[in-house]
Amino acid sequence: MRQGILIRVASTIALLLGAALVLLPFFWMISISLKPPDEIFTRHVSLLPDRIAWENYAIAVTSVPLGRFLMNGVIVCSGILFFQMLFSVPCAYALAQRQFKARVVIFGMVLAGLLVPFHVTAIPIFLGLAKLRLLDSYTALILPFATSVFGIFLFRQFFARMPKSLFDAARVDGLSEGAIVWRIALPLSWPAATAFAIFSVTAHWNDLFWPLIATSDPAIATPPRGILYFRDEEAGTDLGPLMAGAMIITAPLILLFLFAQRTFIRGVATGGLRG
Amino acid sequence: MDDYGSEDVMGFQAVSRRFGSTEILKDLTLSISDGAFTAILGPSGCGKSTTLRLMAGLDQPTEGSVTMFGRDVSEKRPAERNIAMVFQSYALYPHLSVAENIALPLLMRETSAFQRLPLISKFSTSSRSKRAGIFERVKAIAEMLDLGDLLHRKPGQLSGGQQQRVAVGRALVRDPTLFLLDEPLSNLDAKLRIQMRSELSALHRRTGRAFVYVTHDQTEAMGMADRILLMLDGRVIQDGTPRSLYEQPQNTKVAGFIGGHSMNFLVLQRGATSAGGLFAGLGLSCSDPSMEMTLGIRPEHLDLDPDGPLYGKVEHVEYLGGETMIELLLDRQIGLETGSKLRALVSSARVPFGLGDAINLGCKPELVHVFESGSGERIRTGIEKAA
Repeated sequence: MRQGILIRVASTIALLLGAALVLLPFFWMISISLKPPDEIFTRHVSLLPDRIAWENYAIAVTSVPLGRFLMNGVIVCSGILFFQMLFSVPCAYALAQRQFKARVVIFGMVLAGLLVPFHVTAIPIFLGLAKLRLLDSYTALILPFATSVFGIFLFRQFFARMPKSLFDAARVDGLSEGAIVWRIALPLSWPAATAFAIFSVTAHWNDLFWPLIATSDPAIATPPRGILYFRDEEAGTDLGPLMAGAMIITAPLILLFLFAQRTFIRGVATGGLRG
Repeated sequence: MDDYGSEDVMGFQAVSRRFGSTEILKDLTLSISDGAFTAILGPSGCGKSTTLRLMAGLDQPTEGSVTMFGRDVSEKRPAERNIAMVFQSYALYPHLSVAENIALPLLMRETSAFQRLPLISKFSTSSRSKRAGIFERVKAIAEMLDLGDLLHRKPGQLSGGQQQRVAVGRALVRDPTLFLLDEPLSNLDAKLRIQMRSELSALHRRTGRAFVYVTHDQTEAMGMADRILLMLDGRVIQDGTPRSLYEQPQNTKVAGFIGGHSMNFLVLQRGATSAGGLFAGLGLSCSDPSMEMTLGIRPEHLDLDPDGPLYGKVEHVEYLGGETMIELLLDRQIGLETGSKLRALVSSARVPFGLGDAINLGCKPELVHVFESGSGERIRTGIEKAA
C-alpha cells in the first residue's frame, strides 16, 4: 500500500516536471508578450511582468495585417484538410475493405511514403510549381499537401477494424461504394477524423518551411510566415509585439485542441467502434 | 421431385466458387421456388454462407451462372436484384437511429443522388415530401415489429432481440422479392430464439415471399422450412422437405446429420443378408446377397422388446427426464463386428434394469435405413420390408 503511494507520488512528480518542461517556452512567450521592452532584456529572470504591457497586442494587430494572416491560415488549412479528406478517406476504404490485385503493393507504397520527409520532395515540387507558374498563390500552399499518406494510413487502420458485414449490408441496401465511404465509413470513424484534422491543421498552421519557400507576397502569408514581418522591419526585432503576435496565432490551435481533446485521444489510442 | 411452386426466384447453374486454390462451392445447381421457405443447412465451412452471398450479389461465381426468374443476374449488384438480407451480426449502422436504419434502403432507391446531398435534402421541397413518405412507411413497419417507441434510439441502446427486429424491418421495408437470412438467430439467447422463430415463420406467411434461411441448427431448419437444402463440402447432398430428410436420408452423411440424436450405424458382416440373422430378424430381405450393407437405426425408433433381434449388455444409462438414453454393447452373435454399440432412447417408465443387465431391443422394419457400406448411399431397390 505504502509502496503504491510512493510510486504514484514519484510518477506524478515526473509527469509534472515533464509538463513544466514542455510548457515553459509557452509561458515564456506569454510572459514576454505582456512585458514592456525595458523589462524583456534584464539580467534577472522573472516570469511575471512588473507592468503589464497590453500595447504589445495593439502593436501586433496594427503594425502588420495579422487578421489577413489568420484568414490566410484558415483558407490554406481548410483547403488542405478538405482535399486530404477527399482523397485519403476513399483510398483508405479501398485499401481496408476492397479486394483488388495491387492492394498489398499500394499499401506498401503508402507505408513507404510515411518514411519520406516533405523536405526531400520540396525542391522537385517547388520546381514543378515554378514551371507551372503557380508559385506565390494559394494553390502553391495547398496543392503539395492535397494527399496525405498519414491520413490514408490512419483511416485504413480504422476502417480495417470495422465489421465487413456492415459494408455488405450497405451494398444490399443499395449504397454505391462512394456512398458507403461518405455515409457509413466516415461517420463511424469520427475519432480518427478528428485526430487527423488536428494533426493536419496543426502541422500546416504552424508550417513555416514551405510558405517561406513558395510565397513572398505578404497578401497570402500564413500566420508564421506573417509574423516574420516583425523581424524584417527596420527597427530590428520587436520582441514584445512578436510574442503577442505568436500568442494570437497559436491561440486558435489551442482552443481547437481543447474542444476536440477527448475525441482526439480516442482516435489516436484505439478508437474502437461502439456497436 | 417435390413441387414447391410454379416459378424459381433464384437458380444456380453449375456454380463454382474458388478462393485461391480452395474450392468452396463445387458445381452447384439449385433452385429456390417463389413463396417457399427454404433452409440451407450444413455444418460450418460447408459453403452455405458463400451460397447466400452469391445469391445476394455480394460475391460473384468463379464459374457458372446465377439466375433470377430465369434471367442471368451474375453481374448484377445486390440492389438491382431487389433482395433483402438479414445478417448474423445484424449489421445495423451504429451512427444512425432505428428509423434512419430502416429508411436507408428506401432513401437510396427512391431519391436521386442530388436529393440526398446534405443541404438539398433539408431545403428542397421534392426531397422533403419524398422523405416524409418514406418515414410514413418506416413508421408502419416499426409499428408492425413493435419498434414504434424506439424509432429515435441508436442501435447501441437496444437489446439483442430489438436489434434483430430492426434488421428484419430494414429487410422488410423495401418489399423485396427474396429474403436472405444468414443465421439470424444465432446471437440470441435460447428463449428469444424460439420466440423469433415463430415470428419469422409468421412473417413468411404474411409476406408470401421466398425466404432463404442459412443455419447450422437443424431444429431451426426442420421447424421453419418448407424445404431444406443440406450442404456438405460445397455440395448439396440432399434437397427435400424436412420430413423426407428425416425419413429417407439419401446417404449415411445425411442420416448422421439429421435427427436430434445421431443415428446408429451397424455394419453387417458380409453375407449376413442371406443367412437370416439380424437382417431377417428386423423383417428385411434382400435379393442381392453379395451387397455389403450398413443398417441405420435412429435411437428414438428402438424400443424394448423381449423378442427383439438386437441384444446385449447395458453399458451406460443417461436419464433425460421423460426418456432415458441407454447404450448397449451388442452381443457378438448377432453377426456384427465385435464391439458394436447401439444407443436407444426409451421411455423412462420402462427402465427396470441397470448397468450390466442383458436386454433385447427391436425396431419396426420400415424405420430401418439400409445403406451400401462402401459409398454410404441409400439402397432402395432389392430390399423387401415386411411393413
